[in-house]
Amino acid sequence: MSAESVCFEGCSFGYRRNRTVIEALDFGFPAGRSVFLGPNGAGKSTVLGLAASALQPRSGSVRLGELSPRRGRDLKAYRQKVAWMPQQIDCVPGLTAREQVAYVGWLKGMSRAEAWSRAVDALRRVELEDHQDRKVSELSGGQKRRVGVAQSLVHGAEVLLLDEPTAGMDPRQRRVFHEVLGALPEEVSVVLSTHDVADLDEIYDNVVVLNAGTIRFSGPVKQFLAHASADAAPGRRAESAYDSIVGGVPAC
Amino acid sequence: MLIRTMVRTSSVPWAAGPLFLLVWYMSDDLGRRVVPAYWESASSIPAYCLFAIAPVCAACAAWEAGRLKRGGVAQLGAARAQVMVVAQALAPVALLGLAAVTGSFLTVRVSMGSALDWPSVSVIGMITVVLAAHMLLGFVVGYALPRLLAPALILVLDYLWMTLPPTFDTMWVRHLTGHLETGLPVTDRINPDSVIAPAVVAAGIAAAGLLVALTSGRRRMAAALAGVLGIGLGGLAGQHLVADWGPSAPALARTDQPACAGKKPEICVPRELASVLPELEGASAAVLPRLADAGIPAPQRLSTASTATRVGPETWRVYASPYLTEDDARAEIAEAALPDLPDCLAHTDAYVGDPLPLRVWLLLAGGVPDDVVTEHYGPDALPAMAGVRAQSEEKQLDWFRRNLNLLKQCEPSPETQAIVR
Repeated sequence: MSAESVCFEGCSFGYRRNRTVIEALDFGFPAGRSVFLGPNGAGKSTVLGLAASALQPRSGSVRLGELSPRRGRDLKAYRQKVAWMPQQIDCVPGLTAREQVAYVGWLKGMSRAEAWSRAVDALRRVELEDHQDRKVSELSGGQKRRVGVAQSLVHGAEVLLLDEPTAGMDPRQRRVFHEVLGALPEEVSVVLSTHDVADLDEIYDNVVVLNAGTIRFSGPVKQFLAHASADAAPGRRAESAYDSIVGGVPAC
Repeated sequence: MLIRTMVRTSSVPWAAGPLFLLVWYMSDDLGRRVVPAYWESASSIPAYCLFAIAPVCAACAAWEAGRLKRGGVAQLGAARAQVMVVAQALAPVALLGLAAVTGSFLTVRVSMGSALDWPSVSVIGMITVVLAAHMLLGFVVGYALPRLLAPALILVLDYLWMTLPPTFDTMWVRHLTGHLETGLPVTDRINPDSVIAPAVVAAGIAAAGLLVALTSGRRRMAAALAGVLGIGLGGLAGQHLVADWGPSAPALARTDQPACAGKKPEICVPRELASVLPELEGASAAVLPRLADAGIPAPQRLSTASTATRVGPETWRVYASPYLTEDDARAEIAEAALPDLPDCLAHTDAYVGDPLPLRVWLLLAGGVPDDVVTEHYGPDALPAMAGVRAQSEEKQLDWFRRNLNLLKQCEPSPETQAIVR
């Protein structure tokens, strides 16, 4: 396993011409399972969108190994290696859960038949196989997010970029989701943005903290927890560490 | 996505029923009016039906674009080429268009009853390009405008584009939509420019639509400008081809071999009318000797020739239809003795004469029964010609020649012919 998954080299990005959200970002997500923290509006979704090549940087580049999505010849291979679950789960109207997941598999380069058969497996992993023939529009918010997770699993990507995948999931489904993450092959890197900092050390290898478009921390979980204040209660150490890095109470 | 999923979840099942019903009705109705077996003429019927097929396909394409937009497909980081994503989204719509056009051709074939050869490949090609252009335009509009507004808007605007130009005074606009006129005479072939012009315009629109559909972000504005340029170039090229045309495309005579029979005279008709040759032969044997007795010598050839073809004095242009009776055939051959007259009204609004009395005289001189003359030219025809017919044969022939010369000069004054109304 390489030391880094997706890297940013001098990346700048803004949604408006005269307003920059990310400025000259030089950074690489560590390989393994990384949790991506930061207050609302810090730019987490933007960074993940850039990493997924769903957004194009104004300047600089994004890399995964030798692949850069800016180079036309690399784009397909890059996007096949990277799975992306946006914060907002939008599904094509009229599709069932299986059809939606299979469609995303096809978009990622799988054949129709392969995507169709692998969609069932992806839905089984998020415990949605019983709902595979229901229209996505009829599913609950939490179920839709599980469809989103299944979408990111279907084509066997090397890097999973998940933007708040557990928002709206009940505790049992969060547990199932964490089991899914745990069952992924070791060579698959995961970057997951969340506001939920409970059980960090049990699930993730690394923590990355972003604030105001700048990486404030990137390192192993233990190193992150070392920022917690000495008087933090055992169950609140992650929050305390986050607080001390960001410099305030994280908004949830 | 599997094909059946694509079709099931698209807007196509909703649109297919009404569209197929309309196309079937139009194709069947028009198919009964064309010369049976003449595909060149019948091929214009599916193109005529484009006034319904193209807007429906454009609206469905707009709806599919709205679905992709709603599904956030552009944000999913697709590894597939954008053109494949668009093509897959439009595949059910393309199937709808294909089914409607194929259904139209099949209905026409059944309505015609018989067929020689195959439908015109050039018309099929034009229909394909026009439909692709309308679908791509619909897709772009669907991506740019709100999901519910876009299909309704493109449906109405596209329908207007397909149906309004034939009412415009600017004639060349009429020939750019691909909505071909029906009723091509069996003697003529499709003017290639009438197919190329709309195809060129559509290709410009298709290229523009494709360019805009396949670009994203900041490059989309440049693509839109290039698209406008593409449409402009396509429009200019198409306009150049039909700039001088009137309401109809200039006629072009068929070049294939006609079906002929007889020696003196030889009678030739388009292959699709070969079945009426015996009637024409019988009628010519009855009529031509009588006309010769009246001073009109028999021709070398009777031919159902295109108006685009000049025929010499030794050839008479005879009109034939697949439903020709023996009496009709006699009347047509007698009338054929009247040579081509100039299009006097093209140059003046003044009265330029009326060839009707000459036709009636030819029928009577050719021995066509009175009731058939009355059937063809009304109850006043025989009484109006009574005075002329009462004269000697020489005087009748003088009357005919004098009036014919006047008609050829577009100056019927002093008019000596009897007026039949």
